[in-house]
Amino acid sequence: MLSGYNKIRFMRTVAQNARLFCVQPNKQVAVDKALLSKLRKKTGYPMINCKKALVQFDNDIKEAETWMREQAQKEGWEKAGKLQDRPMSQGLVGLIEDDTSVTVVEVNCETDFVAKNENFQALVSQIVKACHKHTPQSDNGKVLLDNNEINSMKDEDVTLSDKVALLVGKLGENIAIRRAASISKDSSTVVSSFVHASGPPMVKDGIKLGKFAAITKVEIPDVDGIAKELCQHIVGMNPTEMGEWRPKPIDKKELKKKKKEKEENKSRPEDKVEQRLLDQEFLLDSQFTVRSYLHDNAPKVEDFVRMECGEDLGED
Amino acid sequence: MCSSKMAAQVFRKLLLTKSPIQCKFTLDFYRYGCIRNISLSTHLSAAKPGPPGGGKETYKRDKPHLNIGTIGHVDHGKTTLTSAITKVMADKKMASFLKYEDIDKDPAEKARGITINAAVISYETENRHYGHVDCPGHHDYIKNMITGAAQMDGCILVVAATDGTMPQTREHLILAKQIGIEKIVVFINKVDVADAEMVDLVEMEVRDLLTEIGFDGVNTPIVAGSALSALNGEKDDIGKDKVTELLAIADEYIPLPERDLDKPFSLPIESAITITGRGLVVTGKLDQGVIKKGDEAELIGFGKKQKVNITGIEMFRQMLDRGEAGDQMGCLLRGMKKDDVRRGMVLSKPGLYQLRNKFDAQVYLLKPEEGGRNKPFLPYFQCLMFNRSFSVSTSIEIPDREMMMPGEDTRVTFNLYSEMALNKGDRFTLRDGSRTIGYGVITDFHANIDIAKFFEDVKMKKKAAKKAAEAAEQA
Repeated sequence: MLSGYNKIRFMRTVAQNARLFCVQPNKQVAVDKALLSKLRKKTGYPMINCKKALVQFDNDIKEAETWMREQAQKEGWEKAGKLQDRPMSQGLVGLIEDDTSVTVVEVNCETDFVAKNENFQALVSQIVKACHKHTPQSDNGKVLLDNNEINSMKDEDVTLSDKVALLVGKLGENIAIRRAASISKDSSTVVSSFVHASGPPMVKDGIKLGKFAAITKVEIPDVDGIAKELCQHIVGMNPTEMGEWRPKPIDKKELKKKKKEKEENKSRPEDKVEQRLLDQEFLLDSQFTVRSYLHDNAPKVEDFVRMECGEDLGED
Repeated sequence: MCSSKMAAQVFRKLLLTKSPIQCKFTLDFYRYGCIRNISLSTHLSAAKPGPPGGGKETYKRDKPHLNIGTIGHVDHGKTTLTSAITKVMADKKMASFLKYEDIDKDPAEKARGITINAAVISYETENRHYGHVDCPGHHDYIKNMITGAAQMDGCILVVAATDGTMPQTREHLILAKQIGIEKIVVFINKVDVADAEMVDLVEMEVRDLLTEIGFDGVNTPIVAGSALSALNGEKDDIGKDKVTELLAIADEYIPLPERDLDKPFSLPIESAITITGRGLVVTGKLDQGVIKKGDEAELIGFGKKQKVNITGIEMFRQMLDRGEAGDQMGCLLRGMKKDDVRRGMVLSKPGLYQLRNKFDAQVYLLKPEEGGRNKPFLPYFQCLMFNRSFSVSTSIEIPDREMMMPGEDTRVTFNLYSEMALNKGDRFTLRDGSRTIGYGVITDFHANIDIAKFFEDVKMKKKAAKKAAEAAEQA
């Protein structure tokens, strides 16, 4: 006797064979199965599009492919239009560094499944490269760009927004460029960067990809990589402002008053989060604040940028 | 309307009597009686929890339960299939039909924060009861795997015949592998708008992909059908019949998780009392397995491993011949002294555990919103690891990375202060002072290390780094 599973398999083959006989009326042109398989493997476009293309060009695989590539761009835009209101909280930041400047770009998507996808990562690195190439100069060496400025940039005569739309069509998820920042190097400073990925480190064509990134500009001399340590601190502790270089002289009376208040409130010290970079406890050596650590090691921080993928910027 | 109210009250009263036959009778009466408006509300109650007893059916625990999820690329019909399954099974009175909109929450609700949707959708087959698990992202599944919340025991991969395997088909399969799923059943969807060649090609593609990612691509059962047809009640040969077939295959191909009772016994020790003239009694709750009087056992933990003989079992001051998983009990061990035993040791079947003090684990770190730390974790961070009835200090190492941020999941190497009884797959909690900072699950063991030497090395390393820094400054 057939076991349940075998029985089902048997029934299935019968059902499949039965289906082979019912030819659907609107698909009369015979498509070569091997060609269909080849085209699908080569392009990765949906099976039904491959078939349509082959039917249209009478099994001419070359023409079918060109037609599909054109079609994909159109479909991408249609899809992007449909999906544009869907919320995005995932994605990647990409960072590139050369002799003149460091650029970081954030690209968002809906789920981390897409963020892990190779196509998406390739797109981010293309965008980062194009953005790095076209970033305008500024006087103070720091440039912040919004999504519109980046979208209209071109890479090999294709606008970045076109590239995004193409991938939206392929992945079926909303994708958008969010922002970019760039800090340029000069002779009196050191620009350093740090990227933190939520998995193992990701590097694609010399571009570091991750969830968090920070760039700092520190005056020379950069004592044993302190700029890099600072970047790591900034990623980890999320400061929002620089703080005062020279702290106000400490008034003994005020200190006593503060101590009293603290005892009254009895709140855990960690509950209150310090937002000023220089007043934060240094991540890599918790007995110093960043200020005292820097004073011991001498360099001065001129500027910093921090980017966390999907962070709330207080916009709608 | 009046009669319907009365019927509902009778139904509620009968529910309280807990008699299955009476319940069944009233249920049937309740369904088929002239009370349409209320029976409609019983269907809806699956989606919207109402007040207790508000016309709800009682859950009968007569079939083994499994958690199952649908995975696959966007728009390949995961939700449609789930809806179709509930519809097909509802016809057999084994589920409540849920419409597509009931399952697929609107984007606002779907926004991050609602990480898990496990208890709402369920259906039965002749042999099993299935719960449907759905999470919005990769990270959420991993988190559930680590913390042990609502895991998938198996899954249905949905691939549209019109598309073939797409980017996310691949990502989802990688995820399934990562969270420990071994058996997958495949549903090739949208056969109503594809033709036989396409279905064949897609089937080949799916098998290739399954094999590539490490599943049994050759023997994985694949069903081709149309969830939409099943949902619309059209073309039964590719619709309803195929959905039924899919579930029958899932019943057979996806194995039941091993029951706690069938595993080797393990009793984490909570306390030990000497009873003069009789011996030492250790107490605790039996985690898994069955203990019988006269069993050989091993007492293991804190660097010690001792063979013992269980000469008696007691529960509620009464003697027992056997204790089962879940029992809170005491075991009499003859010839043992109180100094031989410590809270945190485990009394287990010989060979179940080894003494370990260095292992790899997949760890999830709580976000500040979840009560965790708001600072990142650096290598050699020290915290307490809690597992079963023990806690032990540990120092962590982070392979290939500078630090970990709260809210992330990472592979971490643990160095314990004492050698403890551990096994692969054990779950534990990490605490730091007064708060829980993360959860983990053991994935791999290293050779045991000399922990004193380890800390000496860490100190030396830190000193050397400081010296180098000072030297650089002077230069």
